[in-house]
Amino acid sequence: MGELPSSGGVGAIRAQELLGEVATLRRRVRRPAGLWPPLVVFGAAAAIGAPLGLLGGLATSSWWLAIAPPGFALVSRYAARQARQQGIEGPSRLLRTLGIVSFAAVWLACLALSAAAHLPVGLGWTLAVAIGYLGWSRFARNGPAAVVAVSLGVVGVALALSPAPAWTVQLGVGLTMVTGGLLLRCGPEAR
Amino acid sequence: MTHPARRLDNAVHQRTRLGILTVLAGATRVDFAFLRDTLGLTDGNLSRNLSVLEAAGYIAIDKTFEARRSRTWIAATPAGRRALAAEVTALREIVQTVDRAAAAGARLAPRTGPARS
Repeated sequence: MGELPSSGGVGAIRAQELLGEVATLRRRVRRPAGLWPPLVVFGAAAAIGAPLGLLGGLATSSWWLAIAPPGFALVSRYAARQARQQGIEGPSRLLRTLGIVSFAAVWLACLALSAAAHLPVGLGWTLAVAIGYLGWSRFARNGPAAVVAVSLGVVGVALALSPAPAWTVQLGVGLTMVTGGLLLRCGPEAR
Repeated sequence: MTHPARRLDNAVHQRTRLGILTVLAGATRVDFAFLRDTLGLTDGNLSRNLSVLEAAGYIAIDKTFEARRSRTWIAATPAGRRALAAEVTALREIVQTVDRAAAAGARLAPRTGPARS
């Protein structure tokens, strides 16, 4: 290669081939390494903090306020270490900021929604986590992660709409997150 | 308006160098070994192409020592990212130009059927 494509059909075929290679490389590079750690870390946080729901909403909120910063620090530290080992560093600061901002936005939105619309406890955040994770798995083009995201949504909605106590939603979704994260960790697409 | 093929940049318009810039554009910085393995190149081939891109101001190379071993990090410069975007745009326009010409030819084709004897 090295020549300019001509203006004819051969040049267009060459250009098409190059565009195809660019698209393939972009897909390969954009696969984030850390799809499973947030599931395990925040799933464990949700499961451990679930019994606090028996003490009321304030205890649950305080738990999340306390656990979220170290959770994000742990996940981003792991992602940065993995990236360094693999030899490709991404915009980690941007992703960390995006994670914290979206977490805060979802948390506040769920508080406001459940107060205003009297939604079943746990439905809002469960759906937010499932949809957010589905978007992330789509971005990473990771099929197993998408399956985990859909499972999260199904488990969360089923528990939220069931007559089970509210704190069991957090426990069930938390355990599903941990299980899904560990399965992704051991799966063929784990990096 | 110039044909899009005239806007292709010689430094970028080469399969390996286009691949290098594509990988670099998707990250903040990339290790030499990762780049070599991802693109399936030899050390020498990658080094030669990196030199071309560095001379054009499209990449920055940073050699560091980590855990007592040398490591080479490569990053795309803003000029490199712009050059890649321009290259991809030009390639798309080349494809579109030929597609339009082919479509126009197809519309004209029925009018020029075989002559009756």
